[in-house]
Amino acid sequence: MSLIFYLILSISLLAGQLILLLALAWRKQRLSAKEEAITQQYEALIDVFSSYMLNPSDDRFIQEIRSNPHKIVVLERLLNGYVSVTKGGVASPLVKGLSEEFLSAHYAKQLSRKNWALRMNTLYYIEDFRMESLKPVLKEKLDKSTQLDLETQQLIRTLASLDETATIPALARYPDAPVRLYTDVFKRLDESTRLKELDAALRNEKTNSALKHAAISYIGLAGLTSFLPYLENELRVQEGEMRIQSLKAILNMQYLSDPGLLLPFLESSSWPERMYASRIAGRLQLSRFKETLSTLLGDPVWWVRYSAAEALVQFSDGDILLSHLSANHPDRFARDMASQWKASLLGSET
Amino acid sequence: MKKILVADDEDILRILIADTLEDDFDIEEAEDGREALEKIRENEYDLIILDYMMPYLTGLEVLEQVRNDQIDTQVLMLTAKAQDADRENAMRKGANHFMSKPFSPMELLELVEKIVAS
Amino acid sequence: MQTFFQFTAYIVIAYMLFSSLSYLGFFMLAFRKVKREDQLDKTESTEDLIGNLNTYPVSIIVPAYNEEVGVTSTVRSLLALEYPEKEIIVVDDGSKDKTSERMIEEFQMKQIPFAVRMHIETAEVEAIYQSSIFPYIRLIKKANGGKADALNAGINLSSYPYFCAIDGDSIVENDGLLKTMKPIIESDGQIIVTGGSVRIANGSTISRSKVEAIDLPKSPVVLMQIVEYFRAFLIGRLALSHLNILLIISGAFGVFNKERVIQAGGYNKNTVGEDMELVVRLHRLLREEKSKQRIEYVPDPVCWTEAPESLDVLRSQRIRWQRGLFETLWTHRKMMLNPKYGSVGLFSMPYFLFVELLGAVFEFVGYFLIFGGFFFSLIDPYTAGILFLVTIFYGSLISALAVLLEELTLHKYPKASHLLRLYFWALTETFWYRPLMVLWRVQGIFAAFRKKAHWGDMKRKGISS
Repeated sequence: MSLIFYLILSISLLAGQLILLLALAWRKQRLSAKEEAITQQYEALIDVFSSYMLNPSDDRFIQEIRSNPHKIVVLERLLNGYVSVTKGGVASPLVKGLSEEFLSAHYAKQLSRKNWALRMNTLYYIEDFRMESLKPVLKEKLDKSTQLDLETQQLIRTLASLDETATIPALARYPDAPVRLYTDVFKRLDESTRLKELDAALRNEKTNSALKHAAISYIGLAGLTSFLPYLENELRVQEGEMRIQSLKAILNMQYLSDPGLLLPFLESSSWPERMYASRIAGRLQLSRFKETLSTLLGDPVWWVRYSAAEALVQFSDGDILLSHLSANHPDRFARDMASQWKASLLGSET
Repeated sequence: MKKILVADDEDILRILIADTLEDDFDIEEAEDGREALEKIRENEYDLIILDYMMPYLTGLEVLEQVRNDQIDTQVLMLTAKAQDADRENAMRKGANHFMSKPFSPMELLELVEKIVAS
Repeated sequence: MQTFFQFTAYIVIAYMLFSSLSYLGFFMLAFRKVKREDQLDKTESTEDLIGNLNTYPVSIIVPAYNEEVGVTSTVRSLLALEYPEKEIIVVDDGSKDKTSERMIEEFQMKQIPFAVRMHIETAEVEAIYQSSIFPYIRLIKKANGGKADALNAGINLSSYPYFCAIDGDSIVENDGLLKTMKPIIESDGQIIVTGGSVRIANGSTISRSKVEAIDLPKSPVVLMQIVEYFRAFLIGRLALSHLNILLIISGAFGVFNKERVIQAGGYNKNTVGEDMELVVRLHRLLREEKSKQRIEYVPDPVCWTEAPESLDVLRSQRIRWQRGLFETLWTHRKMMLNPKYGSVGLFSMPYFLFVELLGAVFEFVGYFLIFGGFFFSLIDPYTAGILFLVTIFYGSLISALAVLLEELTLHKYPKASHLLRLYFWALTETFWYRPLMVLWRVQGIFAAFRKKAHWGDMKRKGISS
């Protein structure tokens, strides 16, 4: 080991770093100048953009954006801001018009770029601006996909937002596709397509349980009461997971045609069923179950006790009931839970 | 012309609202809660449009201070989607009207016209 | 005697060369992932989660000890967090200042008698308050029990399945929680802990509870901490996370699956490195169960924290960190080099032992030998010269490289002048900053033997203007 060797090594490494430093500094300078120019353009254009979006006959914006050196980035930002703050922004023909005119050719190219991040961004924007014209390119891409990675997932969401039903069979190609992705698809489809697809999912001829699970939970979250008979039927016949999902959906929907259906679940041996049933009883203020709920306040599972108390609070005489139970319930944990909820009632009144 | 204050920190939304309303009303803008409160204390408005979540002071706090000052101008609160708790909260503190984001400019215009007419 | 020193010098040289190379190796592992996500539009990728019904509700726990200056602005920044369902629990750990009073006044809090479910034993809870403006803000006032105890009390009161622990002096970016929860949501709960990366706020303008302008601080001590952070982040953590053997989830920002944490017994009160210790314990739990669940690191910065500006505070912080590291490795020594614990046992534990903990000892010996070689012919001057060059390489050149690599991948500081300043300060590291750190880290190891628990009082000025 000679000193000279180390000295030369160190100095050449330092020299190498200095060259890299200069290159990076130069790149940074250029990029920040560009970024500044873009921000300036963006801020200068907000006003005319806003006028155009409210009154398209005022076409100053079109003229200005056409001659803008950074038109793609600036327009992207403006449209993005617009669709995120306004309802119906995504369905706006103006957004569609602007994006199809100025962005679609660029996006078609972006989609086959090597850079993963750019492809992902493009998929997000196509979804945000609902760019129908790119649907064939996207479908082709989906057909070629071989694994359910982040990009394919986003591709499916983007296509679903363009009302493409081929997304569901595409997902079904992957046996471990999570429920979440099916829900994402349902959420994005147009209403009429969605209802058709939900119905098909519930009939579920191909026994895809993730799909069915997603359909049930979507129905609950969206409160689609037209599917209620189906859910209630599910309570009678199904076992395990789907039954819990149906209870959850009914809880979210806040509706039940026959409250009597709930009784077996309040007495079920599965605690999640007892928990959801308690919560439904509370949410729907089914006073005939008050007594059962008082008993469940002493349930061995904390979550059931918690939900039973939460349910009791919702009745108009909930505070009186809880005061009574906090003093007189035979179970110590039940008394604790009752006094905790009594206290939270005090807290929320102020 | 009736005078309206639009307080929202999101540039694009504030400008859209202002542009939507400016043909029929006299519009002033505030970019955050503090500026909004100052303007409300100095001027008289026929309607105050407050975003619920703003920097420095949230819309809710502006509302509270305004009501403490015995200013009873009508307040329209803009709340984020699915935040029922916020709405309930604002109602208790004395907000008169609500609009949940996102909304379309036309919806807002209709609501504002209705409020100001009454 | 000289042969002994000579031999030691060769060991130190070999150690430094080896560590430097392993740093570079780690970086290569991390490079592709960071580079890949560089240009991703981060708002777009989290946008969908905001209105998403699949997100899990999160309890945010803020342990606070003498934080009267910053606590309310922290809570304000948390209020503005974009997240569908959250609650904020501030735990006043027996502060001697007006932490609780500030909270009660600012958010009009009222005392509520709320029975807490005791998952984990904690020091006595004196009172619980709830805000009458934002009912989802609560405050626990409890007897002093240390940070771990405060976090445990927060876990007891929390009502949601995930909790996020955040320091009282940090500002979380608006979409920080969404970004940190994203991997948990997308893995359908298979990821049980995520840590977001933390940035140093000094120098930047933070007002309106969010970051307005990013700039560098003037103080060299803080500049060096930024460089140090680049080095640790780029080279260490990211690669380790990539291999799913991450040991540290920074105490400043992390999301945890509550059930798992309770199962593991909550935060450990007997160590000053409670965040790291918990993560190691969770790893251990997962391995012992042969679970497929895992722990992940989010490279995108989500949270800003104030770095100490005074050497005194920095010193006690470093001593505390080193002690915490030591205590964690000692508590879980059973995992060390144990194939039963997979790559965590075979890889991360030894890495933390040799590079993060004992590195200071090697370097200390190195500095001693250079000094002794030049002035007292403890070793021959040639060897001392080589040792000196290798020390510069290990300290300055690697740090300077980290600055360049940060610029190549994340480039979070906006101006070219920032890059130049960081680079040239990084080159000075070997000559002043590193010896100080080495000294304090060695002291930390000694302190670990003496075990004296204290919070390491941090003097601070508020970071929000």
